[in-house]
Amino acid sequence: MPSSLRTDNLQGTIDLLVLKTLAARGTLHGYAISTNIQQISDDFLRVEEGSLYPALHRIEGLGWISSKWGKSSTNRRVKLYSLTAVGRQQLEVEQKRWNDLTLAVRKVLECYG
Amino acid sequence: MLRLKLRSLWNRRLEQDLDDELSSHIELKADELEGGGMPRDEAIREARRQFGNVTLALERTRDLHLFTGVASFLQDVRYGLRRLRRERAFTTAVVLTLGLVIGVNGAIFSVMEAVLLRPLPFPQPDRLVEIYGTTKDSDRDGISVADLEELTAAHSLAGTAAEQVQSVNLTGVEEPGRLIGGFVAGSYFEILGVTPALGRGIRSEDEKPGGPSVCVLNYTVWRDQFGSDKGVLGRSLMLNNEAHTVVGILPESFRPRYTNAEVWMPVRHYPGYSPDRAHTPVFALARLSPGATIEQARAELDGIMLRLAKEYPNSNRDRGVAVHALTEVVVGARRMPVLVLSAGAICVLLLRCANIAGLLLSKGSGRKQEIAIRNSLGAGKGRLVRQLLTESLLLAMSGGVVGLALANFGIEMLRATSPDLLGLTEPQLNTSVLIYLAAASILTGILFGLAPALGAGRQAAASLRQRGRTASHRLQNALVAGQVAVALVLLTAAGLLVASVHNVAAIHPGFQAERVLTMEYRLARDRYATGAYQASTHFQIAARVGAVPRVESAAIIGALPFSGNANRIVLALNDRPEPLTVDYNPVSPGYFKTAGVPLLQGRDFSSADRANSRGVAVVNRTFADRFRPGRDVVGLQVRISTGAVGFTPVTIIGVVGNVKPRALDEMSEPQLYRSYAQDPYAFATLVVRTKGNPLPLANSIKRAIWSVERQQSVWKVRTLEYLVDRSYSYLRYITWTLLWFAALALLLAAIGLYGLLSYAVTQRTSELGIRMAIGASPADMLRKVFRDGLVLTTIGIITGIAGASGLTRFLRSQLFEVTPTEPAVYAAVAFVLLIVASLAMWFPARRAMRVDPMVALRQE
Repeated sequence: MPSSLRTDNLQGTIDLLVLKTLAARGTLHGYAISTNIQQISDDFLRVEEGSLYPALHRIEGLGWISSKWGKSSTNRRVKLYSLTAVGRQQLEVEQKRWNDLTLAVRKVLECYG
Repeated sequence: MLRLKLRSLWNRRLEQDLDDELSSHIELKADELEGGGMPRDEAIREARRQFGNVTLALERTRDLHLFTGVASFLQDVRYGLRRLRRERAFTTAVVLTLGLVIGVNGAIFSVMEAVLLRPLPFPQPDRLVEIYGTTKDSDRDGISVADLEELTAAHSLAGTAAEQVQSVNLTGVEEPGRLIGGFVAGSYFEILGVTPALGRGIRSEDEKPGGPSVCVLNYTVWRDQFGSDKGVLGRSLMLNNEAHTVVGILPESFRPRYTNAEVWMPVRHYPGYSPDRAHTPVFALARLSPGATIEQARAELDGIMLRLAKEYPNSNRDRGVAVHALTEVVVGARRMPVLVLSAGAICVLLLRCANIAGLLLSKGSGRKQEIAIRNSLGAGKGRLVRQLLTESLLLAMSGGVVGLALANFGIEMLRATSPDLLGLTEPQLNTSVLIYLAAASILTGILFGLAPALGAGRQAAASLRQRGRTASHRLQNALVAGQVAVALVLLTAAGLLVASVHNVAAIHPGFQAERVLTMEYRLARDRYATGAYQASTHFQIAARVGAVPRVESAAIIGALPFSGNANRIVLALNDRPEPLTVDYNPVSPGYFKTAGVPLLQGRDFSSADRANSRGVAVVNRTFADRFRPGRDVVGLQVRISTGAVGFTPVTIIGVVGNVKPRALDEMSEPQLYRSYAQDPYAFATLVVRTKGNPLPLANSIKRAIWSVERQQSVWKVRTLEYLVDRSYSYLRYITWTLLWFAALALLLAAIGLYGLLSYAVTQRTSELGIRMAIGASPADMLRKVFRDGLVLTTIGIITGIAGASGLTRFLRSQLFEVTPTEPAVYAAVAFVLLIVASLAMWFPARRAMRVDPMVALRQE
């Protein structure tokens, strides 16, 4: 198994990961977002809490996600995040940009074998 | 400190909110661990450990809300500084040249601030007005003392004070000296709002005949001539051979810009003072009543003068007054030259902005890769624009700092080279100038940074591989054409001024100015009471000076042309009913020969023309042509008015050439001369033609004067050439300055063109290579680059000509015998521009010619 990659090493990707997770799973609290990303990526992507919360608040500031206080499944008071309409559009933009970038990088790598 | 302060601003509710959110995270984690079989307290510890540094997370999230702005700005600055340091050569070049241009602007602005903007140092200076008398021929005549008393009753004026300025002889001291005397009414200093630093000012009781003879000194005179001695109060000074008790010293801050008076006396001591309504010896200073406008004052005073003209038709017919704002009197003729210089400096600054913008755009294209990567890594478009703008601002502000240093130097230079333009003002690096410099730097930064930054923003929106150069390419072209246009405007303005200077300098003043020394003196009234004694003393002085070694000849004249002095008289011709006003001068026999004014007809005055012999006069050619066209003027009798009723008949005995009275570009007016013997006068200007350099003879000439009158003060020792030069010093000064600006503009535009074409050649190396490979000749390459360059230059020239023909209108008042649309000037300027532009094109074109097809293709 490759050593895990801390997401704050790849500036910008955390936005994409958060948006995609919320798009797929609906309303989630911060802890659930981080565990989700970690599990889906087979523990490869480890979201540092020190990066996650700043990112959540920043993205919320941009209007891509919204938050409200609610109850977790274990009945704890938690802050729940969900995707906004703007966020949904932004997700497409971010996703395309990521695809373009990886495609470009792959091309370069494949070209020179 | 800043952080702490900002933290206190951190909203408590949000703080609680964030705390709750993070602790819920830890508890959720603990729940999970507990579910896996860990004891609760251990689970919480483990959850905390895994969470890492809670405080750090708190901090970072907080910072996000609070410091996104500040932090990203600081980051931009750091990043910008790093970039600028890396490209040291580029940065240095831009900062230094921008600094030069900003410095020039700062220096010129400081002049503008000092001359045009800084108010007079009095309370409510915009309420102060100056009142002149007017006649049919003059709008700056004096006012009679009796008329002024009537004007004082005007409701629109809160106070009026008579004033006049004349040099006074200071005697009874070791070396007889001269001070400039201000003769003012008792209300004068009160109207200005000036309180003496020591003692008192002039009071109304000083004005009464038989009242105390007093005087008040300017601070600088007190400091420089009396060593700031307080004991000078109460001392008696011999001014114009009359004892005046010093009663006050004016404050240091009192440096009036509209008068150079140094010692102040009651107006009744003015030698030309007369209470007679027929004499108009004084001007007046006044303060508008609260709420009154200058227009109201004009209307009211006009009404009073009309009434007086009806009441006293003999003395007051056609007499009126003109009211001018004092600030206007102070600025006067300096306004246009200062505005022209400011406009020139701003043109150069704008040009430099366009220049740097072009450079940054070229570099911006080279940074495409970097921008695209930064963008893909999450930097938003707005952030990129801000980043690039920050870099530009850093550049501009560094330029501003250099500019600050240079501005200081520039101010010193302006002080040294243009004392006339500055008058008594002192340009300095004060708060206004500093604010201007800061604003100019920031604005230039935004101006030259905005286009490249927005270009980068657009580019960020495009993808990595896209070429996306068309928009910025068009902008670059427009910027270069714009630079050519601005350079052309400046060149045209400079060209028109050069033509004017040339035209003015080619005018003959009417006398031979070379090797002539002049100086002024005034015989003391009490010692030389009779006219006959005055005249014989003047003639004796002229004779003694004429005998000084290396002096060719010497003569005297009342008001020397170009000296600023002037006399006018009213006369009547037998066949013309209406009185005529003509320029007038008393002279000594031999003046025309000494000054080099040609005698065209008849004879000069001689020693035979005495007080009791037939009255004679000499006139100039314009006098003869205008009043006696086609007929002989010699032998004609004219009657010269002497006050209200009397007249003196004189016969014209000769005609001399026209002499320009004040400036070379003036029209020739009728002039009439009489001999000092027949119209004696205490004041005289000595005119000395020498055999070599005239200035070293000044002392031996003064000694010759003192051999006639030991106590005689002599002043204004100047050469006639200097006076003629001085008469168009503003014009020469703005011409030279604008010429420098234009040269700078030309250089910058050439650099802009060169930069753009070089960049284009580099960018298109492969294209050029392919063309070469398929058979294009090097000459084709040359043609191609030249065609691009010439298209831009031509567009710039056409735009510039359109702009210049619109803008040079504002120069009209400074031009002489050149219309603002003189085709020859435009053609010459366009030609110069084309030559310089071709030079700028040559180097990139040569590079294009030498493109090696193989090397070029391999690059791809």
